Amino acid sequence: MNRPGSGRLAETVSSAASMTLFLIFSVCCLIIIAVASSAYGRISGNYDSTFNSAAAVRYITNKIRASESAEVISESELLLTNSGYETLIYHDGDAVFERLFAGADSMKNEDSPNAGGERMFGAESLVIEETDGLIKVTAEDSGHSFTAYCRGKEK
Amino acid sequence: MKSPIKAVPAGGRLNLFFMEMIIVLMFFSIASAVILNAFAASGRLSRESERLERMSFCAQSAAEIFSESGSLSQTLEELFGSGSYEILNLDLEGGGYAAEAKLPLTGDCEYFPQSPEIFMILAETAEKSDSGTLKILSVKFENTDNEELYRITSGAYIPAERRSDANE
Amino acid sequence: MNDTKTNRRPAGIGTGYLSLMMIFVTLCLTALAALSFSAAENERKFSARSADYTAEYYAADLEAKRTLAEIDSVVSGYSDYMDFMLLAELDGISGAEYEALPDSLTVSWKTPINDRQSISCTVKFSDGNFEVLNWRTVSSGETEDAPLGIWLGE
Repeated sequence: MNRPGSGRLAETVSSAASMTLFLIFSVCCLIIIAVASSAYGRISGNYDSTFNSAAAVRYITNKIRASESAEVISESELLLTNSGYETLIYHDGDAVFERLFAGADSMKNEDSPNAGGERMFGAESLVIEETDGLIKVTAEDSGHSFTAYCRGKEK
Repeated sequence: MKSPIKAVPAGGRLNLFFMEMIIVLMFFSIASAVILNAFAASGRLSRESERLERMSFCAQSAAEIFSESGSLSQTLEELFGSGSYEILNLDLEGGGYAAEAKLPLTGDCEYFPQSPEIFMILAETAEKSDSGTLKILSVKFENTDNEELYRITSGAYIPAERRSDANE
Repeated sequence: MNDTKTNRRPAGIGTGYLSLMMIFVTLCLTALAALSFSAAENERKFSARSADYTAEYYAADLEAKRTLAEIDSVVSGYSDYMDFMLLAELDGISGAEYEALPDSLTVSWKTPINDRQSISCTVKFSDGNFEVLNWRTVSSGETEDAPLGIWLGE
């Protein structure tokens, strides 16, 4: 014979069990969404940092190929001359900048040539070296580093 | 003593909650299989893209160094350091010249900081004439199944020894 | 005695909430997966385009060097840079333009990389040797001045 108390107890346990299951399901859903969003963040961040550093190296090497002469001013500054114009590519802070100067030798007359340029790519570091007629360009951003050589061009 | 938990409440109605949970979990497992596949494909595409980028830069560097030096051994030394390669000299028909080097790319060079499990094959041939030698460098990347992943061909022209009173 | 009220609402979670949650989670995951795939596909396209251009550039560079070898082979057979036979042979080399002086000969040619760019080469021969004056990428094809669309007051 069923007692009234045991019926209420059964309903309470049943509802508690269903609420517990619902809670577990909710927590699992939240965890899955968090994992998926971190995976997306990782892929997207990887794309950004790879693009920044690889594009910076490609841009600089393509610019060197298209210029009449290339001069390495310092470890993070490169001066390109083309059709009477000078282009200074330099690294400052966290990005690669480019500044155009009209006329030959006009960069040397500037007080602060590596300021006021146009921001091209985000990069934590940019290293430009010249050895044996070759220019080596290395750019790094968020742990992704790319290096490439390019033939130098003397004036 | 009877268990106080009843799967079937009074009145014979099924507990819809548990039925719904079973159906939801079944549908979610099918959907998540597709979604996980998409995430895995994204991750694989991202890794392959970065690998292709690195192969391209490594090949470009090899081509540029070779065009300045005209020497396969100097190219390899500049890229990977001395002692890290072995060059095979091949005899071609008609007395032609060829040299080849096959390197397993490990994770200790600046072009590939993590081991990509691919091979880099550099092959040099030469076309000689009276005025000079045109050296051709073929840079090829293959995976462990010998499937070609990327290739470029470049060259260097070495003029023959001329008169010594020429001005630079 | 059992409770006989059939319209009594059972305690616990109602019907439909689980389905709503599942739909929401599936939509979120699908959106994230689509965005990830899109980002990875963009990265793949960029890498493929860059790698293809690199291969095209060096193939064109090799062709330009082959042309240089051909020109050098022709010029090295003559001691007089103004010899008409030499100039006739240079005319036969596709795309080569020259400027002949008594003590030097300057030859220029272009090798296409793709339909938008080419490598422009200029080499000067003198005293039996040559010097590369110019070896750079240039835009190929003529550029037409695009109209600026300025209102002229009419």
